[in-house]
Amino acid sequence: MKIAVMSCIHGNLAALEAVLKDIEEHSCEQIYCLGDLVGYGPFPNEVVNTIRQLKIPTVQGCWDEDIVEGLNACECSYPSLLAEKRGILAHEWTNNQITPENRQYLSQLPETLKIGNICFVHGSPQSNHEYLLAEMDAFTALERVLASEADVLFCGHTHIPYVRTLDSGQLEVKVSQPDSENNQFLSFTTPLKRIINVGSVGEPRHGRPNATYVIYDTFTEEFELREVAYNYQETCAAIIDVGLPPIFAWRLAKGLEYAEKAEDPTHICER
Amino acid sequence: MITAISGLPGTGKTHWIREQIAKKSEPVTYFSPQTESFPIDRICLQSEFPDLSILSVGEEEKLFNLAQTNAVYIELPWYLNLAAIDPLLTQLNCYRVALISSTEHKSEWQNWADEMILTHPIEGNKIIEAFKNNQLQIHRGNLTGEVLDFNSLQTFWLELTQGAYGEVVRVKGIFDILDGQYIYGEFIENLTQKDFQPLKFPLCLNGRPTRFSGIEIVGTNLNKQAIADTLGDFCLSDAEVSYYQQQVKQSLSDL
Repeated sequence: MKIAVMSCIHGNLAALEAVLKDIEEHSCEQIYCLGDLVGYGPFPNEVVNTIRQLKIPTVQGCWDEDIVEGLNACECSYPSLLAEKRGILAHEWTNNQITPENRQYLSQLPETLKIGNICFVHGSPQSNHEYLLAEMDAFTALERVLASEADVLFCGHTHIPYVRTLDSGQLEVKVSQPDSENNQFLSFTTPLKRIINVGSVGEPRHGRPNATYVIYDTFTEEFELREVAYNYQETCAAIIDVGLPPIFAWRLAKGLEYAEKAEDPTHICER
Repeated sequence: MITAISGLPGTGKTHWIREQIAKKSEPVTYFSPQTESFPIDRICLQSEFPDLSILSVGEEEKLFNLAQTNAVYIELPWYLNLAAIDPLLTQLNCYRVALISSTEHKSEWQNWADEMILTHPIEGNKIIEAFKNNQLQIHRGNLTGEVLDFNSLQTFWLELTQGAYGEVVRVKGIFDILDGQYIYGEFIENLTQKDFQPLKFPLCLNGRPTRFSGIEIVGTNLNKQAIADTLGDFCLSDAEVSYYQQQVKQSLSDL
């Protein structure tokens, strides 16, 4: 079965519509969404309405969670004072715009979805705030996939697409017991695992404004990273029209993302 | 000898003076009119050459006597009216050096300069055209007393130099940042950009700094309000300044 997986739409309706059109042209049988439907962009309700109308299975992103539960992260979520101020501003604007029905919809989104040997998460199986970066060490990356009990882990959140194959991992664990001087070594191998980060539809961070998503064939295990050009100027104009900071429009046009990722991307806020 | 140096923004006037000072064995004096309230270049030179003597406006009469024993450099900022300062340069019998960034506008300086030096071959036409048409704007933000969040400064710097707040051809600034360091940053259009450099001055770890800090931006269509607002977004509060200073002191005492 050919599926399309997308993430991080961030209220960018023009980008979402372009991706949906591209998905249709590639005859995908099912679409999955990895969350962050809202935040920073000017069309949060329109994006949520579209996802709801199309009944696209969706997991909850960190922005979706924050709109439901309120901003409760410490400053660790932001790499700088400037990013924090901009993030709070975007949160407050989105919070004022979102309808009660859409807030309710966001609140009931699951944190993970599992279809056969495929798992869908926003950040990682442990938290929708955790970044699974392409350069993450192999042991941790493998641990995250194993935690999902899947062979293929789809994620987003970093806004930079990548595919990482963890080939037949050899794991060795040393077990130390306090009352024994003998350490026990356990060794086992894992089957091939794969992490597929689908990038971002509405807030790219790869240096171009184009939307990204992934087409995956569940039978052949072939994947295709898709990059879709769209009329981003339309979204930029809307950002300014609705009163969001003009710098968001400039950053979108440059493919820079509205805010940088946290300084320590593996840190998970425990608040 | 007294040497007067002029040139458009980004041609490397201060850099050229730095190179000359490094070669000198005799004492050196530096004077730069109309920059007293915004002494970025002077502070950079003092960071590298602590013994450099500085003359202030009103002390011009000392220049002639100093020139008997010292090498004297007068840096003329691009916005200075050269005709207005010409009598002083003539009276001091200055050797006049013009730094130019392309060979195309030598004629502009031929009547003024004793020597023309071609510095880095940046694409200078945009600057020259804007200068000729009086379109070059200068925006100065005095940040003395402010302590900045460095990560935010990096984000702002990238946005500024890539055109988020207008077309920028030259930026230079000196900043106090949250770990107490005093740093210098500069941008010249079309040149490889350098990282921020720490200046060789003591860390500021006791309250708000009193030394100068500020940013000078040269370009066209500058959105000065947005620049000022964004800078204001990452100036630390008193409580934050105090918190970070305590952290740095603690880490230094642990060494």
